[in-house]
Amino acid sequence: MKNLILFLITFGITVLGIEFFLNTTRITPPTLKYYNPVYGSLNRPNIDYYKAVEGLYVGKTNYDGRFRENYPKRKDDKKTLRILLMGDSFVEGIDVFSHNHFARYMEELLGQKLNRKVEVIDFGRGNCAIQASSYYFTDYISKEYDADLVLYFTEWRDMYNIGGGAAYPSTCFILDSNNNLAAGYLWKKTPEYAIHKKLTANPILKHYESSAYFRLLYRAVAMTKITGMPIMTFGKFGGSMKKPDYATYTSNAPVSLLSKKLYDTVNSYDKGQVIWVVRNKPYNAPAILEYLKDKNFKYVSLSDTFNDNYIKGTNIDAYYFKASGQYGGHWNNDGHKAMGYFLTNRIYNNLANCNTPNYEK
Amino acid sequence: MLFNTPLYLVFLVIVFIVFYFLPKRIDKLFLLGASYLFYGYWDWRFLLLLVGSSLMDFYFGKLIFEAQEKKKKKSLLLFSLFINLLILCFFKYFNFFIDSFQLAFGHKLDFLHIHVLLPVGISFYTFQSLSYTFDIYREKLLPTKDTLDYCLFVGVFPHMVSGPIVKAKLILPQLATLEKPVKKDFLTGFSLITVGMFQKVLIGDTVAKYVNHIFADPTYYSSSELFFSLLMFTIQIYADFSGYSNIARGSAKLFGIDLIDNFNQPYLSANITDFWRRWHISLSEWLREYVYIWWLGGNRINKARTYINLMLTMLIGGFWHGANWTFIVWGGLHGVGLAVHKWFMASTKNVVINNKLIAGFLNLISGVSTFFFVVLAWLFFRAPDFKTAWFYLDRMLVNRVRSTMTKDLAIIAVTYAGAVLLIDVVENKMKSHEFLNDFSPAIRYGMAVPIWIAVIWYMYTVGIPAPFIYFQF
Repeated sequence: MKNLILFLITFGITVLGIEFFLNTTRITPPTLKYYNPVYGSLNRPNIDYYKAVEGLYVGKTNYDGRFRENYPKRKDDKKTLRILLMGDSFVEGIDVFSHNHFARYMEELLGQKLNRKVEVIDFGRGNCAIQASSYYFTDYISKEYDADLVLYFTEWRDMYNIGGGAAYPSTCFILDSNNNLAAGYLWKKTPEYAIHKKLTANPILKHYESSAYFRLLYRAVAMTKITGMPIMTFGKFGGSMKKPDYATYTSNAPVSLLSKKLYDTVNSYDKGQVIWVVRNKPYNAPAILEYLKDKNFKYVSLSDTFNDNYIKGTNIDAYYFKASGQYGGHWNNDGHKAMGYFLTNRIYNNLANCNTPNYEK
Repeated sequence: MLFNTPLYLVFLVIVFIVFYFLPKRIDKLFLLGASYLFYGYWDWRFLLLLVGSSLMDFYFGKLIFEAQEKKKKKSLLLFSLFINLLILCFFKYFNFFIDSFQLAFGHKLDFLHIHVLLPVGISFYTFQSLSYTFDIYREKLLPTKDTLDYCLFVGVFPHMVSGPIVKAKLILPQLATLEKPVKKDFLTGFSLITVGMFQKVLIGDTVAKYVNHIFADPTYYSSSELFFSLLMFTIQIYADFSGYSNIARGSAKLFGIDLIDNFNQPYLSANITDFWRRWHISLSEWLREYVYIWWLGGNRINKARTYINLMLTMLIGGFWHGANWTFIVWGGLHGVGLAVHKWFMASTKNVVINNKLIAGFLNLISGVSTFFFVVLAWLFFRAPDFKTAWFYLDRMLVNRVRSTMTKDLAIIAVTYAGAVLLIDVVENKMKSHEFLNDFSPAIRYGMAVPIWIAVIWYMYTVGIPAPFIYFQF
């Protein structure tokens, strides 16, 4: 009995020590997502976070669950130029430190050119296509935040009506039976949400996400699923990670009816100017460019700054992460820098033609 | 096969069980077969090199012993040394020599580059093999008549790829009288492997992510971020290599083999000479015995030669690590450090400080400055080239760039340092690396179970396990 008690005490102290170690070194950072009853999966506010898959991110989320600094929702005066960034993981930029994100380059460079304060607020969110992001934008961001410009990133995935399915565990725009936009809550039917509900209903497991051990186990199981490795085969026997195909292709698909309605809805934002930023990796999407051109929407194409994987006119690869050897997933430090310069110059050269009623030009 | 994978754990358990139940002699044969399987798992072709190299030195040892004349003994030794170094140079240093020649004389010789992988552990098993012929020549060891024992000495899996570099005179007698492991061996092995896994998997592999990314792209990071990445590398290389050594020693102990300690809380060293008595002990001792004392003459010639010998030994030590001038500079820095310390000690040998407070303060200053000297030298060890190393120095010390991330990285680095320090302090207090073994079973397993849970779960979270840093040497 004495030995059992001694074992349990030592076990408990060691667990607490390792929990502290895992949490503080961020080996298992807090679970990023939580479920908001209105918007589905969102990022947790005010947590220490770390990610090192392709590149490296060390930092915090702000009060709104974003990876950058805190900004007041209302801008201080008309001389401040405020830009909102909307998009997916490219915009979220969780593979570089905050001070290497293109938003920071834009703030600094555009601020110097305009000789005034520039705020660039990043609302990018990983794996969030326009169906999900546009709902959050129209229902929350556009109402809560002031913006003179909205740089809305779009890409080939946004052309399709994916039905707001399980891949986007957030409230999405869908088409109702009359082909009008409506809110879709399919995330409530995903297996992940079912597990989450089950665990949070259990009084003992309720705070499961607080445990670094639990998060480690969760990641271990998830990783085994991702790499397709059965639970007891490893390393060489388990097969190496499959090298993705990162060549650039052109998608000739047309823009779906849902996507057209989403572009139109977002573009009707009237507090400032929406500028669409059309990505060209991994697929060129000429149909999006054509649609935006036909509708006379403002847009820039990233084909103007990136040539395949390279920053135009250079041999600098904007997608290769030297430390991890990962290739093509997101922009590296060089890519963010190039984006910062490119967007700064585009905005500076065209700002006079933008509809920015709350900005004193 | 890497130690930090569940596959290795499965392999180790199976080999241990089968070894335990096999009759004598057959068990050694089985252990050798398992070791070759372990090595051939990377690339079976290099197995031929390992076997060939082992057999060659085995027969050279015999020939050196049987030769009657000193001159013949010497010729045989030099021939054996030449062949060993030729193999090592071909696989490890050939391209380096070509590149250095190009750099010095400007001739284009790229076409001469060879494109072969570096055989894992070649530097380690070559040095081990050399110790056998060296000691026979110096009449400090009788050659073994048992080919199996000799092949096990070179190729037994726990120490084959990254040391500790064991000398033949310490291992061959153990192998000749190898007994089945007893409970104490098992517990010692378990204790060492547990601590080693914690060091390697939870500290070394995780801190590596911060280090690798920042070193890959230093121009994008601020002065403090570069400093903390260097500090984290200081932690990484210790946790990685010391963890490896503990796993190696623990695994060997399961088969009744004692390998020497490779680390003894090196970052708590009082001075640079003390550091080299505590860091990579097996390599330091090898270099000290065979290069510094035997080949170069140590401190027996004159004062100037002593300093030159120290410098040369450390340059060779640096070059042993890898085919890059950065390693040579790293070795050179330590050589200068050792020479300066030796000179300082000789110059102040008559100075006596009676005040304990002052003596303690001076010791503290000495310890802290040694630590930061070692950290600075690691920069050249880790940086892929001089350009990166100079950039680091420039940004850290001269053209400083501020960052908002300092606090975050500082907390992370200090936590890692705390974990490393905690293990060192406990080891120091218990005077043993296998300190878990010294606790009662309730405490021992109370600590070991949560460590193993975290280690194994972490192993599953990484798709491709991180190799040991010293695997490339």
